[in-house]
Amino acid sequence: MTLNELKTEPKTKLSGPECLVQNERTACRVIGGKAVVITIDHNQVHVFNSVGTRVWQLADGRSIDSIVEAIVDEFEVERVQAALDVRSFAERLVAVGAARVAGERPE
Amino acid sequence: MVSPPTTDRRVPQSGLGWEWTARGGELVTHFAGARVWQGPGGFEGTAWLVDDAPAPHHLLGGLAVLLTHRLGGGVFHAASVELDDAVVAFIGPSGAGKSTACRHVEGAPLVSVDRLALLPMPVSPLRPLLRPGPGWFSHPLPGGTRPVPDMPGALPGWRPLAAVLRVQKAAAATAIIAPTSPASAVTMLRESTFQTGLRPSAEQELLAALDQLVQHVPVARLELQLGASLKPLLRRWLKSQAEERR
Repeated sequence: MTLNELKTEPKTKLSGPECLVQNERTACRVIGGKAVVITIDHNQVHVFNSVGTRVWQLADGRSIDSIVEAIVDEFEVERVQAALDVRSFAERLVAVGAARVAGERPE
Repeated sequence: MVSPPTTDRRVPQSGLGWEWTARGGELVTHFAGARVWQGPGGFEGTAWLVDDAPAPHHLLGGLAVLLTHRLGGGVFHAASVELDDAVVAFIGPSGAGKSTACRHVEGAPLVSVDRLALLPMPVSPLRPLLRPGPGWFSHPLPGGTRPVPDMPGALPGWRPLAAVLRVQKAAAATAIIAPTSPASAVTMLRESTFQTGLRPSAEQELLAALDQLVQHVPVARLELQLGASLKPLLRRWLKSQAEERR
């Protein structure tokens, strides 16, 4: 499973129980199965692949662990690998301002 | 739709110009030296003088961005030419080769130098909205410097939009038009759009508009090779796109 590369290095390390939520200051449209996400305050456009798109859609306040469960159910991927990839992707979503950990202020 | 400058007119500290005071409204767009807010009484703007153009020019530019956005389209950094009664728009960052691409379509009149409004329907001052058929339409806006002073120019007006090409320098020895995914096409268009708003809902509407545009108009990457004639390549590609879409 390959998640779309986001260039900004993450500052926040996530372990799994944290709840991930889309940043309100974003706009998104899924086009051809890929999410095009604009972070308005950074004026940046990101395109996610199909798995990244699903993670993004699931970032509705549920925990990263439950997002991993959903990804394992929906894609052919080992749980260990899915957990690594989803956490890494979630950290990058937070780093670019596309998502935040619920209860924390956006970076 | 646009409120007159009802508040005090004054001279900003940066130079000549005027300012319309925003009264607790929400910033909806900005464009060069102008800002437009949506207030309780309509749209209100601030414009100020910058080195290259007068304040009214920027304010009108900002309003053009706002209005095209409200009509389901957008204003793009695009140089464009007329080819076979339709417009081919070249987008990309400064220095990408937009004007050079125009020059490589020999004999084609220049439509826009830097700014092009794209809408799903033309807007007429006599009849507000015309919808003569499917497809999108383009209208040039002022701005930019002509790449060649004596390059023939098309008369301003609405024309059907044939294609949008994102220009980049060629890696190969010849010019190439390369397909791109719809998501990448929307990304390329968004990066060449004049900022339309700072509100998530405005960006959401813009993404929807760009998605519509990509569904109706071919959008691709053009790898430009200096000296290579673009006209035959463009005609072949446009023909193949028309057949595919049929």
